[in-house]
Amino acid sequence: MILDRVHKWDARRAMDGSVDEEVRRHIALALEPVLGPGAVGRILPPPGEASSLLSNAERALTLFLGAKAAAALVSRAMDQATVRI
Amino acid sequence: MDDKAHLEAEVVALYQEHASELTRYAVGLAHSDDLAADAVQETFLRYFVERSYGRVIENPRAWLYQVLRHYLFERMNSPSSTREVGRDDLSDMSDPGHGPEDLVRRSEIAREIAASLSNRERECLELRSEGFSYGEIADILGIRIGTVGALLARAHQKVRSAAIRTDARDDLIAVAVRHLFHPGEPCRSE
Repeated sequence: MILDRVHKWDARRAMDGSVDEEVRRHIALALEPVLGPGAVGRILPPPGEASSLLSNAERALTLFLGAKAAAALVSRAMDQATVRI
Repeated sequence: MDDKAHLEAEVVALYQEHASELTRYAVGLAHSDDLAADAVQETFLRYFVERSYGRVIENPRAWLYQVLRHYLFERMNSPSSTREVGRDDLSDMSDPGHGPEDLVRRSEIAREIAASLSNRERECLELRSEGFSYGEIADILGIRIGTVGALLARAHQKVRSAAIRTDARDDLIAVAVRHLFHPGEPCRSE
């Protein structure tokens, strides 16, 4: 049953490029106040290479905020992103 | 095995290991089997989604509890501080291994304990009974470790006070506390 949901989401993500874009947008919004827009562009992988999106973001945030705050910020960004995807 | 298949296997393994305890936890918070089941599914899906985007999750069990709790409170549109411990939750404590007098006594003690605990104390006690460390409980509830310690100390004090008020033996208190969080499981007073 859990795999049904996983496959549905995965299929939608494969068909609809806006899923990855939405996640990337929310992560960028979370990073910008801390790192500035210029750094965000360099830290986040380019669109289409989403498999390291959260690890890159969390690693960068951890340097400035510490691990707990970074994790909380990434989780909040994903809360907002997953409401829309 | 490619990355996607590997990730699916990871989610399935976690699901098999933790789904039932998470469902029990969710039912305790939501008082709805349907909402609890849906929340658990969403939590595992969220795990898959975040791992798909490269999230490193060092303590999956604690992470699942944290996300599940957050999801449930969002869905119930109610902050944790307003949730009341349902006295009715404790009224149907079937325990075929014991007589009706024991059952009534245990039920009274459990009610006494439930009524005395705050929502936060109850949650801390429940998570502690699930085997989480103070640090993990702090992460799940989004509070400081010191606060967890204080809440647990206060909860234990209240349990002790309930034991004195009801003149109950330690073993009966332990069974009553267990019944608070695992009402469906048979308990033995040993």
